[in-house]
Amino acid sequence: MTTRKLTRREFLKLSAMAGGSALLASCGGGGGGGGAALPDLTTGANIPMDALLAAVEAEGKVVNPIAMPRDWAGFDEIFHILTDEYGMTLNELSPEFGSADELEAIRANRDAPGPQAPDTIDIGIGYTTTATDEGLLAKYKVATWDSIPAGFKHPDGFWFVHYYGVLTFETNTNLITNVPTDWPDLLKAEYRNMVGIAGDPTASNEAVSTVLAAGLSRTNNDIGTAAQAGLEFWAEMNQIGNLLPVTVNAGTLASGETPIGIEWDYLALPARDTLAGNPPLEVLVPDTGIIAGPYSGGISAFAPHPYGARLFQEVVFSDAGQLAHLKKYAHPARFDDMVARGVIPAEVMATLPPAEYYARATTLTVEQFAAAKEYIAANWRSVVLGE
Amino acid sequence: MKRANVWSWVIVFIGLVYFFLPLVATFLFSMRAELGHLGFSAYRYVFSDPGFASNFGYSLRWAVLTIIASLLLVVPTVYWVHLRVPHLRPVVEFLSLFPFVVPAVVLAFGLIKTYCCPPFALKVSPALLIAAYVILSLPYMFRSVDAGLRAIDVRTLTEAAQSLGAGWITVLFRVIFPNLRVAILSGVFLTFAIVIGEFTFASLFAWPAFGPYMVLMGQSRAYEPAALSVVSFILTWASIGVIQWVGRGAPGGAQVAGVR
Amino acid sequence: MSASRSRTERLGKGDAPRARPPVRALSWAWLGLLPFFLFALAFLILPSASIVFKSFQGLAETVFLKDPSRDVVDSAGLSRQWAAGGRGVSMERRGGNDAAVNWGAFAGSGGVGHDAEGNPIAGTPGEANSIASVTPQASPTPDGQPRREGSYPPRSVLINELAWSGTEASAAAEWIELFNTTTADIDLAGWTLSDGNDIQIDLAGTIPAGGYFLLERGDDTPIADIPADQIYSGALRDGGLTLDNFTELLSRRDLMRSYQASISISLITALGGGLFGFLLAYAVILGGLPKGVRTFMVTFSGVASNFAGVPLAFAFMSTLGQMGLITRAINSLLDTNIYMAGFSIYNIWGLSIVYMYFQFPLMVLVMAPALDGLRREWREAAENLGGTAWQYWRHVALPILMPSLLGAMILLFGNSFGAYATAYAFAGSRINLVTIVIGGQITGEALFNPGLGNALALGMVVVMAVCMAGYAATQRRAARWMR
Repeated sequence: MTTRKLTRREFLKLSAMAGGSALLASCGGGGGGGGAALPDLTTGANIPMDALLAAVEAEGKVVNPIAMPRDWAGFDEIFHILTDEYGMTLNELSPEFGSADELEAIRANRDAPGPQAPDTIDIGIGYTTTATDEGLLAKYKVATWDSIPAGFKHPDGFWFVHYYGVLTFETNTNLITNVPTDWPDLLKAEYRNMVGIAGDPTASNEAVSTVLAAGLSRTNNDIGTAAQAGLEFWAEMNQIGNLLPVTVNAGTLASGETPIGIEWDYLALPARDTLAGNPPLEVLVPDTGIIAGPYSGGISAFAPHPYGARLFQEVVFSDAGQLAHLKKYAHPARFDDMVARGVIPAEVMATLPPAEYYARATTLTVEQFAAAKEYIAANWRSVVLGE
Repeated sequence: MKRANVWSWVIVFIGLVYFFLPLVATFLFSMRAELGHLGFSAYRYVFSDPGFASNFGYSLRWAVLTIIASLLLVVPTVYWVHLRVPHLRPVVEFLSLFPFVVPAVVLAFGLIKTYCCPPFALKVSPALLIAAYVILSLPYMFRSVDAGLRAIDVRTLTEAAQSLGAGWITVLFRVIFPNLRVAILSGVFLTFAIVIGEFTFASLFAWPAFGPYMVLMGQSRAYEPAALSVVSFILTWASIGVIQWVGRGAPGGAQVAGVR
Repeated sequence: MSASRSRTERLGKGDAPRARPPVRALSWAWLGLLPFFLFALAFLILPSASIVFKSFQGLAETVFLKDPSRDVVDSAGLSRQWAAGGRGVSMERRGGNDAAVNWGAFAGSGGVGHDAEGNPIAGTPGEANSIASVTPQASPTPDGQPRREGSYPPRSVLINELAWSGTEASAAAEWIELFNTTTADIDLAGWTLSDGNDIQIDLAGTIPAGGYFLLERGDDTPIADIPADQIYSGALRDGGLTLDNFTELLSRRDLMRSYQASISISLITALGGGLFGFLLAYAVILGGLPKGVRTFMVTFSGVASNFAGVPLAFAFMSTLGQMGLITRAINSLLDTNIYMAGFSIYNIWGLSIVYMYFQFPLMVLVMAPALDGLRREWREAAENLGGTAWQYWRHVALPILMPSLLGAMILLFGNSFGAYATAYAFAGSRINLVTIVIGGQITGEALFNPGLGNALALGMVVVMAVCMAGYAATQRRAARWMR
């Protein structure tokens, strides 16, 4: 009897060890580079598509995007274009990361190229200065570079806005009949324990924008004092108990944990669609304090697959890629150019919120955003949470 | 004994209420995915998502590897400590409790920085993750095995077995391991459960494990995370049941230290 | 021990077990522990030591040299610490990139030049470094490729030497030396040298091929007898070993609060979880319940302790959240909204209730083997001798169980103290617990100071070390009962 037990144990252990070593042996080792005369990467000039594809082939047709969840701003379709049309393999890293986490991931993997190292990032505009200053990004200008508005890109090609959106209020109308339409409404007593924001203002671009937008509403779009005013607004919200420490998402909205949320339109609108009335979600842009939040793409300076990363950006900035953003309610950087050329289908345009809100949106420059981000990150804990 | 019985039932009842209420609430919420009536569409979504199978498979694989590595590391060590070097016990115990002294988040950071780059470039293979999981399981494995060994008289058993002509390997695998079955199993359960649901290391080391997958689901879907929680609970429970069945062995095996 | 005697008798051996010769020098016995020790060294001690060490490191800075196209050509101090050098001693480049291994302290004697007070400079401003055999090489330019104007290959100009702690005369008398590794003169107009802080230098002048460019801080006096090619303003933070991280930690109210919160939750769940968990374990193992209940509870406990993180957060939001099952039940039955009354699962008490979900099972699982060791015959013996249940507990069972009990509660404390995923699932990095703050620093530089993050970690280690000391003391006490 003991013999049987022993044999079974031994067998299990041996087979597991065999499996384990096979598993470990199969890991590691990325795609091989090499081959003659790969296109130059140092000047940031555009690489023609055929040369790029050849280089990608030599690299092993892999790319590691980081912090790009599939259901965020239409990245699902973009990933499909890459895998289906170009045969790329994607290592989707850490989709739950925020902007600050992505930069840290680049720093941490500086000397360790491999399947864990990010190739392409997607960060809030406020983080681009840090990234450029620290030399974390590589230069590149996509084929459609000239049609990207000047304020949406770094002149030398270190970063380039993928898409932008505006902050919206989303309300679970099963639980709330009196829907808030503007920032001052949120302070009403009837919304006690109801409002959730999307993340931590010390690390998340979206949360920083939420603070700024509230501030812009209070200061009547005076950018200079908006950060301070925003912190004061949220301090009040926290004090009267309207602000919840919970991160808002579709789940908390549906369950009623945070019946009111503040998220980008390209997150709120797909959430409304997915929930499909279960519960019904009303998404609207606030009357004042409309902030445009551009998200910028970048290529890591230490990318293990630099050509794959460049192909990734080419896809994102192609008409198809930009349209993928728009179909999920995120305004692509080349929106104006595509509208002018008439390449946007009418039915897609019809799903978007009214254009006049976007016209009234306040767009901060990179420097303004970076300064506001630092101020808010440094003071959130003390001013709002009183610690 | 009758009186003790009643109190036992009361305590167990209270415990079960506390444990099952959240599960019931989660289940009820997951059933609300269809408008107007209760339905399983959230579960259909979860099962049809390719990420679910692949991520759970990853975690399952790593859990098994971790358990094996941990057993092979801990049991002989603790046995040896009990038998031959009891004065080194505090050292071993301290080391096994290390993951408590240095929390997982910090340990992850330290491991990343130490093993990111040549000549120690371990980070690119799951070996580092498995090592991290073994570390996480160390306190529980050590505790369980230690308590189990404390409950049997190791010295006598070993001497008895050796006086019957057994070598070290035989003593270990035929005498000690069977007597530790209950203790080992509890450590194994814990290790398995830890690895399946583990988030910190998997996220910081950027591996597609089940933990980060659940976080990602939680960020984007409303009802599916609840369904996922229920499913993961049942799957883990089933897996542990399998482990228990595998470790059951023939009834009434050669247990020298008769007890209970 | 009486038990072993009876076992020996059952074996049919009348004599005492054959005595083995006493183990000789234990010099070889500990080798049996070698695998374990090696593992611990590699994966526990090494990483932890690096963290402890880094918590004493002050925040230095990184200096970036950029060409006119704003590409980073070279940097100094990327690892956020000055790799070498000190007061009056320069940090020289040995070769290669800006990794710590490629820097060294000035290794010659005498040096070049003198400072404001006439002391010789321990460095070589304007000349080759003291270890000149390792000449920095610029990375080769791809052949035949047109280079965009103003764009230079990495390390074509090097930050070759820095005196970040000044000279013997004055710690503020800092200077920086650049080195041109190419074979052509370079006009530095459009080049910048900056630390992202108070040093923003627009370089002006020409650096000759294979030659040097000397910058001095403030005026031309740091190196009194060598003229500077450019004067700049701004300080290079020293970094180095310091207690600054700890003083900052103790002075920041929000960080102290995070400790308070973490410790409170851990104490509550260790005591509460320990108590009820022990009762549960006892009920299931020795409480006279059918064996199936025990098996069920043990396997369930294994799963329930897994449940931490997103599933647990979601489960409790569904139960005790604002629209949770129990919240609504209380609302309709007792007509009170517990959240209006101040309850919340996101504060210390609420989180404790949530954490209990994995603390109870952990206690059950950890105590199971110990409770198994509680021989029924001892209970029977106590009763035969006329003792009550209380006496049995007080004099027999509890003393025997005490080491395991205490050890288990310490485990619970540590488990709760180090818990990260559940609170993170609730609110990202917004709940103020120590692990969350540390996590924010690791993933996103939330504290903007890695040394501070390491100091926080060291604080956690201290708290746990205190616990362990207490635990060790009780172990020694209780061990007296065992033999």
